[in-house]
Amino acid sequence: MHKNHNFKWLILVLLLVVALAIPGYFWMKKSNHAKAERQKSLMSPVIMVPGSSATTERFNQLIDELNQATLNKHSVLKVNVSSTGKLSYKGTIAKNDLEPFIIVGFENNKDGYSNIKKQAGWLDKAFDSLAHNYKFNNFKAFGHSNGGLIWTYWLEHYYADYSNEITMKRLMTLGTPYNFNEKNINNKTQMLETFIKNKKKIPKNLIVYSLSGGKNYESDGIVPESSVAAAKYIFQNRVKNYTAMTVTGSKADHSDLPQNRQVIQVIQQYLLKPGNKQEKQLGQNKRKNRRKNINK
Amino acid sequence: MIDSVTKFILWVRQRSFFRAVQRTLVMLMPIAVLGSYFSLLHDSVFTPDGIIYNIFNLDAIMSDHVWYGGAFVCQGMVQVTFGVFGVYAAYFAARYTARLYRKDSTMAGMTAVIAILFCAYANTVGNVSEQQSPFSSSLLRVNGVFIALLIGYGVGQVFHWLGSNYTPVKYEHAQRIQRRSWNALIPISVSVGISIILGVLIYELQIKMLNSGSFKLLVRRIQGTNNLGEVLLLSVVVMFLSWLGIGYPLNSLSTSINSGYTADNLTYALQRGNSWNVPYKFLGSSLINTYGTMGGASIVLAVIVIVLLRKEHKEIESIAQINLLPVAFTSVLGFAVGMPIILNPLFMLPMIIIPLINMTLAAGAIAVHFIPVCVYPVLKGTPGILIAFFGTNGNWTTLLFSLLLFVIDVLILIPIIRIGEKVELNLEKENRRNDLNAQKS
Repeated sequence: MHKNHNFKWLILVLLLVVALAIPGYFWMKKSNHAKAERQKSLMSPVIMVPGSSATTERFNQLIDELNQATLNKHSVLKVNVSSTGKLSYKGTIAKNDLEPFIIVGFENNKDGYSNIKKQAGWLDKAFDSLAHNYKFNNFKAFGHSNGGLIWTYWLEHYYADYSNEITMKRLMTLGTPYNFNEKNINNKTQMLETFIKNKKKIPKNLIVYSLSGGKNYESDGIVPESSVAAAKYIFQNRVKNYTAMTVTGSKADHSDLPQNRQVIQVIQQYLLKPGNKQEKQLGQNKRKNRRKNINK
Repeated sequence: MIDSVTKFILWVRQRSFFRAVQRTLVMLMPIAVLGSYFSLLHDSVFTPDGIIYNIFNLDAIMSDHVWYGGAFVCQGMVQVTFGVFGVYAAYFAARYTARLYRKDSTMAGMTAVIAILFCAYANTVGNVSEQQSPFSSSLLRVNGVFIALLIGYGVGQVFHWLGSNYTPVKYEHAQRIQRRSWNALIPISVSVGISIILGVLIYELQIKMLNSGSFKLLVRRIQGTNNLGEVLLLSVVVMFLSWLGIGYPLNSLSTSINSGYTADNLTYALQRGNSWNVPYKFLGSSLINTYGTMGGASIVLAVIVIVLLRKEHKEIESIAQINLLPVAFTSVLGFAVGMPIILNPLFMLPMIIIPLINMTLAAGAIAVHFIPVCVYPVLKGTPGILIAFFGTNGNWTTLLFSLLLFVIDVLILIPIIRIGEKVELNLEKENRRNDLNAQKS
């Protein structure tokens, strides 16, 4: 029998397949293991982004008050992103804390659309590392002022990379100037136009709350109410639920908003996991039912 | 029995449509091979869910410049080969049809290009969702090559009935070419007229011809059913369509796996750590590509292996050699066109029956808990035989089972290839006789 040269080809390709299959096998095991870890994870962090000129210390008072109001204390991790994209961490996430607060701040925290785009990119750097390290499968987003713009930009440009495995459940923006300082909604800024143009990239099952401050009848002192209300052109009829609220009272200034009592209440009620309060109610119901059963 | 089968296939092969199509596809082989190498490169290296991209962590290693450059070259080459494959197919189909009847084949080819481009134009203008350039029309893509072949054949037939006879000469001066053009005036006008009517129909009736959308219903049905009978029945339709040269349904079945059912299965498996008892065991989406076609291994790779081992036909052997690598990594179109397997009467039944056998055996093995269900995502460019292995998170029994299926498929295909060799032999004999007759007269 003469030699068949084609054996050489078949064996060569077979070797190539095996050579790929071995690292492929380990990659697959690792990736499926990570997927399973993420799937099983119960952690659902609240990731907060402060506005322009503010640092990761911006929400200290808000968090203190939130922790006073609830029984289970939320641990806090602060992530600072430098202008070159380097991350530095402060604080830790407690081992059994299922709803930690993570605050992402930027070295360059200046105002303006071009900076917001850059900040969204830095937010993504931080998010990528957080998602990798803590393996959560869902999270809640909170943004004060420009922080809300950074989140919106991130949703439209970066979220798709994660959406298969990680869900943004809720987004709450606080005094966010969706149309910058423009009072007249007919004058849409370039940023708002782009947000509206890309609204299809925002996930449909998201729940969005947009809070505005009513210091007077037009604005929170800095951001016009109509600019906050412009959020409806982006989210309304796109996400599952879009709610707009206005808080008033003594601390309804733009920069006081994170310390406003009503805001803290709204965060507790709508952004955080329903905590002990509801458990109590559930218990009461149970008791009532029992009583009913006894009466029978 | 084998003799009568051989005779029947020989008869079908000698129909003018199949004669023209066979010649066309063989002629297009180089374009298809080019396309399949670049689509393999694109899928495995320059896609974020490609196998090489992930295994070698190109995300970190490869610079953005190189990656975008590579993706650009690959996408571009796939676009000019597979993306506008219909233009080449229509041209050669018309050419070889006209040549069967000794008509002016170049003129026929040219006219067919006008006809198919007009239909493609009508298709994109009417379709708002797609890019509005005729070159992006789904009519032109390799997955819809059947329509292009039909249009080419139709134009060839118009030249058959209305064109004047033509014998090619070695040296052609301008005057003669002028006469050729005038002679072709009537068949060109009639063909263009027909293509205008066809285009108007496509546009007016908003026939969204051949884009994946028109097969969405079929695909969704298969993805969504957990009923084995229905999966088998529908896969007969899908496999017949891909034999015809309409690859859209099979293609979207093997690429998109994001349905609610697969997500439920994956969630279950991730939480329990295995996929033995997932809620949907017999989903069409997890059976067809993993076991039915095995990413092209069950039919195309099997044929290549047989051709390489038998060494009966020098030309086909070299086509098999050049296609071995892309086919092993699920880029099968080069060989499906070059052999050809598409629209080759010899392969119609095997192409439908082999996936049925594979899927039935796999479903049985799943039912008796011999192998788990494929639920884990598999990277693009994963070798066909390994898809089930990776899809079960590395279950070794599943790997053995896939190899067993492959051996069974090869055994089924050996007699088919033998019949094919006989058919070829008879065709050659006939051709030689025809040549002799032509020389005598």
